[in-house]
Amino acid sequence: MLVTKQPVLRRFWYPVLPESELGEAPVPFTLLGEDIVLWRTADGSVGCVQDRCCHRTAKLSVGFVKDGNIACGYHGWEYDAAGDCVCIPQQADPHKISSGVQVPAYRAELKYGHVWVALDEPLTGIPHFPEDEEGLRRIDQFYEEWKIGGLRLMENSFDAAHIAFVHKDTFGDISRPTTNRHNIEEFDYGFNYSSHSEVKNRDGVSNRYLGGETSEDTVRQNRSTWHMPLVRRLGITYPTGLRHTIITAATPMTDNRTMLVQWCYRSDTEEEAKAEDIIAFDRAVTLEDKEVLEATEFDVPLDNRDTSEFHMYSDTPGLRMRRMLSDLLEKHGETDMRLAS
Amino acid sequence: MLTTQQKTLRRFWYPVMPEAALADGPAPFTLLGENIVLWKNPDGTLACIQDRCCHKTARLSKGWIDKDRVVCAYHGWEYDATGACVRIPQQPDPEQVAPEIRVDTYNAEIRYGHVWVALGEPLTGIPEIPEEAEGFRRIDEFYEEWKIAPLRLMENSFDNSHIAFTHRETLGSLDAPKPSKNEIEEFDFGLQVRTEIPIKNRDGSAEYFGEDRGEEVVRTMNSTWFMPFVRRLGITYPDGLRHTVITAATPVTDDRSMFVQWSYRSDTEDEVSAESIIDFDRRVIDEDKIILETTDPDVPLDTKSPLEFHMQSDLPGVRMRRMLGQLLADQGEAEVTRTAA
Repeated sequence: MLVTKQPVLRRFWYPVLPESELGEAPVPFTLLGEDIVLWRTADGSVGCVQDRCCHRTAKLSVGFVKDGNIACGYHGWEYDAAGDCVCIPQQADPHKISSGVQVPAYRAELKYGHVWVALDEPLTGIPHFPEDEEGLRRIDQFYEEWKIGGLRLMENSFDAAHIAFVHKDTFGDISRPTTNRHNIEEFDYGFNYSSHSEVKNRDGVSNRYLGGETSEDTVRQNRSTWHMPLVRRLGITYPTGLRHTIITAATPMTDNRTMLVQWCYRSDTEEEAKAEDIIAFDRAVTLEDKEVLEATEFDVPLDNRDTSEFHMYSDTPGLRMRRMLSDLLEKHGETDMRLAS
Repeated sequence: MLTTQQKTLRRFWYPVMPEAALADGPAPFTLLGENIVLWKNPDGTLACIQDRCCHKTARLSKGWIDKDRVVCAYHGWEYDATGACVRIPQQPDPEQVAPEIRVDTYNAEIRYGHVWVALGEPLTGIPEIPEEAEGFRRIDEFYEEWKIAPLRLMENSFDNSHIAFTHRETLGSLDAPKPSKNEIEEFDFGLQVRTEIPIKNRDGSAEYFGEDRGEEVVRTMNSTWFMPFVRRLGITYPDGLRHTVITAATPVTDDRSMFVQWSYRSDTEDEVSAESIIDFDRRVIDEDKIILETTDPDVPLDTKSPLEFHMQSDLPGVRMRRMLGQLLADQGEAEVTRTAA
């Protein structure tokens, strides 16, 4: 699947940047191949329009924010959050502008400390994370570009078999390659997944990550959610009752570039486990994933009978994603767009 | 317009490098997508041939010059300025070479301290720069690649509206967005544009503008556009000081241009140093570069295209688009755009 070639993917919400990145200057982003620009409007909400002035095509993101509108750095044309050009300073009356002078505008919302964007009419809402309502502390972790197809990261999240190998130096155990049974329950735009895995608690940062727990082996109870198409909620409970929930979005920039956006929720306190240690451990884990995932093909086939990849039991969550995405495309009159096509 | 797709553009002269670049052996350049190699013969004449050995396609510019020949670094085949292979060292008689073993050649001349090349039969001469005949000192300023279509830079040169915004920290002021009017006159292969532009004389730029040390200086401009991608910016300051800037946007590929700039000054090095002139012009062109590199390289020549809106001060650029459109039509060519390509 080439994400930029599937219009239905424009009808979902994606986190595009942490709210903290939205300062005085406008911020550019590329979402599903579309160049967009984000800025803080006068009322504190987020403006999001196409990053291309309709005069001479300059990127508005190299311009500046003026009175809550975005001004082009080339000739100063100003646009409001609806995408309407509201000022052409060279005109006798700068505010008298014909109605067609505009750029496309997109929906943007602030939630969970991040800016979320949907390019077209959303099919479903911004994912619901119960941990946020429960008041668990939120720790912003990562915001960085990976050279991968976003779906690879989603599949990886529910793939119990990769832990023993990819994460052999952090929490995996290469002498235990087999996986446990899992259960999948579909809902309209995603699925819930439950399973458990025996993992290692190695000395050092891992102990601190687990709130001082020192036993060498532990078990993760996994109650997680896949939010179609590219957000996962990894809900982990340890035997001590400690809850660690990781939210990871693989926000699709282009067909082979993905923004990894990750934050987590913890049921313990900063005194019990420092945010710094939690980030350090998850950093090591994500870098192990990155090294392998950037070595995979970005064009994931949605057709499970495709002979270019072989599957095993632990791949069933990923295969379910492919099938559900395939059904979604079909329902919206699309077919899986591949590199060859 | 995609410059590499329009054959007519091969019939103009472009400055491809400063003459000094020929001092270190064969010099490569890519002009309108064509890889060429240039060198100077012992008698001072210039050679310009295809940068591709007809044996195994290696770039001849990776080789070396032996008297009036370029020697391929792969197997030592030698070519003269006519493009003929004149020596194959592996043969029993190395000088006995069949006449069809040759590469293409192009027109090349040295003028204004720069090497000019025309790939096809030129429709018009190398632009006449009156300041050269008048004996003004020439200051070589810039030679660097910009990720832009050349036409954007040409249009920008005669666009009085961008000064207030793009150059708000050097020449312009956000408080004065209303542009000066241009007086435009067409000639066979270009435009003559006259205007008067008030500019800011901020700290550090005073001497550049001559004796007048007011806060604002009026530039009297009598400038020329030489079709397709050379402009002559003829500036006279109130005290009579003349500063003429020659800028070429030599087309490398569809979205890359070589920015070639030198200037002429009527004053002396003792009055204003070349270094300070280059420093100030550096700041100005960097402001242009940051904006222009965000514009779409595929400029529509059809001025009724809905892709861009226009205003009064865009008229010189609009005239360029029309004249280029007419030129292509006269030569039996249609405009090639990205969508049509």
